[in-house]
Amino acid sequence: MSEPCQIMYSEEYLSTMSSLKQYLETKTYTEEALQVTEEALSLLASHYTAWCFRLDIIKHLGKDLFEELNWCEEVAIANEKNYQIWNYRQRVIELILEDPALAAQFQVRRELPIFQMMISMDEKNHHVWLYRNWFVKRFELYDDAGELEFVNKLIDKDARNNSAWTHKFFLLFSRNDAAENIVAQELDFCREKIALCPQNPSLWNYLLGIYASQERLLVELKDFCGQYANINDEEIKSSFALETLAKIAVEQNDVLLACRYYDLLLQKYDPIRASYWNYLSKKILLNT
Amino acid sequence: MDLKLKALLYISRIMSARRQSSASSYESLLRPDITKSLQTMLATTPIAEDFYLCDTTVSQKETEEEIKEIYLSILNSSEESIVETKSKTSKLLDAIANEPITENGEPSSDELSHFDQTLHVDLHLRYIEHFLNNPLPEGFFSLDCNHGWMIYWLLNAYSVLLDGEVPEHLKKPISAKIMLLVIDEGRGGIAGGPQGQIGHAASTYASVLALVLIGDFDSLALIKKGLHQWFLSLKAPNGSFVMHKGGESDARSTYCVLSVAALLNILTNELLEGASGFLLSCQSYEGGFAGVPNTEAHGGYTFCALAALYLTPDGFRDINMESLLRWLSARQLSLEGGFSGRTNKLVDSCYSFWVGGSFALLEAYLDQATLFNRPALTSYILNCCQDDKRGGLRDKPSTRADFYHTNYALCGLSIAEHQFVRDGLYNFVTKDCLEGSVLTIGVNPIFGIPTMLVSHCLAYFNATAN
Repeated sequence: MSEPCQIMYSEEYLSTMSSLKQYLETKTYTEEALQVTEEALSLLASHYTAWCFRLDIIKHLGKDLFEELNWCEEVAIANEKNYQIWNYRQRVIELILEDPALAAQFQVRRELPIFQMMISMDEKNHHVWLYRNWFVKRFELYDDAGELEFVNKLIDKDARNNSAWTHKFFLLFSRNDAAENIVAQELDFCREKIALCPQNPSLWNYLLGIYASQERLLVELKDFCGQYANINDEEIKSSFALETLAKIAVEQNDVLLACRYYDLLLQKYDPIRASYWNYLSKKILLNT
Repeated sequence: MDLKLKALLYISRIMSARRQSSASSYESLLRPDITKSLQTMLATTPIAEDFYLCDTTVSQKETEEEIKEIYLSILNSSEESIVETKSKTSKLLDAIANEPITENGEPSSDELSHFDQTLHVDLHLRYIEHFLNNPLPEGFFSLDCNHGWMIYWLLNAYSVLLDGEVPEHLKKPISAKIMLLVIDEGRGGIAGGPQGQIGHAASTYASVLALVLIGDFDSLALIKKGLHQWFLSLKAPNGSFVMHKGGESDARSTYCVLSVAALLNILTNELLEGASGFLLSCQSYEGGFAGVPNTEAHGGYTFCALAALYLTPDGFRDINMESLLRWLSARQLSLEGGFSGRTNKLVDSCYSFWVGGSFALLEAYLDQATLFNRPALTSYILNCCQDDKRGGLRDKPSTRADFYHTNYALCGLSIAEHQFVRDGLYNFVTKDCLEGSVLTIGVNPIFGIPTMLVSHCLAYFNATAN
């Protein structure tokens, strides 16, 4: 029996990887070795060992780190779904920042075009958003006007882009000091978007997220939700509004009303989640 | 093991199930009637549609249309599907027992009954065996850093279908292959592939699970000390672990380290230090968990965070349970029945396990029988995700089967078919959700391998501790 899951590599792949192995084993940090990592990564961008080795070589040879960032961009565009590259890019930037002379040359803005490019290819690319999150933290860009503009544009284009909403929440509410005017502005923004597409979970999650993070009472939303969940109409506009009305009823200790809403969700508006609505009903009944 | 023997095992399981069941209908014993469930999924709820158009809506509608067609065709072809599956089962029985099964005692079929497509066990076993027994074509080089993963995905899918069994003749070669990927007796972890690759926590996780699947505890015993040392070297100041030297650290890498440590009985306080705090900080405002704090809640990371937290002394105590349950419940899509991994993303069968497993952990913790719609998930996996020509399971109808989805769709099916009740620290007793009709065995929702194999592993390492 031969080796299970043995891959029939192409000649090119095999020869590139075996020379990579030689350089790895002998810890050879040369231009030739650097070239081999480039070849290896162009064949297989998820080769984490090659990324690690490349960083070691770059350090040993004292390569131009800005050039390295440029190279990274080319690889990123060719490998949309790869994530090692973003970790690598972070580490190169950290190296730049360690050296005061280089750090002075580093422009935060230089990261923006590659983001723009990657996000336009896939607006929900998880790895690119993770990198953007690191980027904002690293350079404290929470209050940067461009950053907010960037997410708002994406949300205007697709209000169901949950990655953009998540980033927005991170910018505005991940620290504890959201100003009252920001909260008010975001609640307005959110309500405006809900008017456009009431059955969009990203919006309700964002709205409820603000309420939870600011410890505000949901009862404020009662009339607003009522517009989208009038159960006497033939159709309601949003099951999330009805769910929020149930939460408000719980908040106000109106157990019977909450159970009635949960039952409507269970029977009529959202039957796929029957077990969940049933669980919530039972739970509040047990707590009273 | 040859096909006939496997078929025999399969049939014997069905037959023994038959004896246990009091149901008189042969069909209802194999598979439940899903008419009502499908009708609920297909029904339009009285919620007004908005006319807001965006990319997300377009791709969602396309997926829904495709799946709707599949479900409608089931509802529209009642009689046919009954006849077809009956003859299939009878043929199998004929082939094995050489005597046709009589239809005596069976009630006349209710014309309004409808069933999920049968799970093509033999076809999937053949798909898996094909890839385990033959060299992989050149295109698989894209998985060259995932050798341990390929073995785990294939072997685990096989064992979930076949009572925890794996092909006997593969045990030695698999053990040999994995031990070649072990670096420095575990002190450098387990690499993702050959040619000088370095140790990787996720590959270590997959490789260790593969060794547990083949019951090679002796090899694991040889490397467990080394692995413990390596894990300590991966520990990050925030309590998480890096994936490899110089790699990323997140809920996934943390899960991989803690779960292996738990299996091998090396989950020391040093490893646990700060891990719980880090994992809790990954819970997002939406309720699900992200890979790192303040990023998007995601089914895969949510599973990793929950399974890892389950292994920590305080467990789920400090989770915001209300928002977590709300988010998890929202993952189940009304028409599709399967789960999405993030808010406003499409259904994908791999989340059957990532989200399903999360539910199983919560059900065990909250002592609840069921918190999600099991029949709907089952319908999605069986009707939309099987490649009924070449075998294997896929993400969604528009995609092709692969190893990863074959494994996680089957693990998800296992979650849908069983209920999990706590049994000791890291294990669960399973109860069949539908008596006699289960096609998979219970998969431990912390580790993603059959519960019985987790028991064997824990017993071995408890007995040989120090």
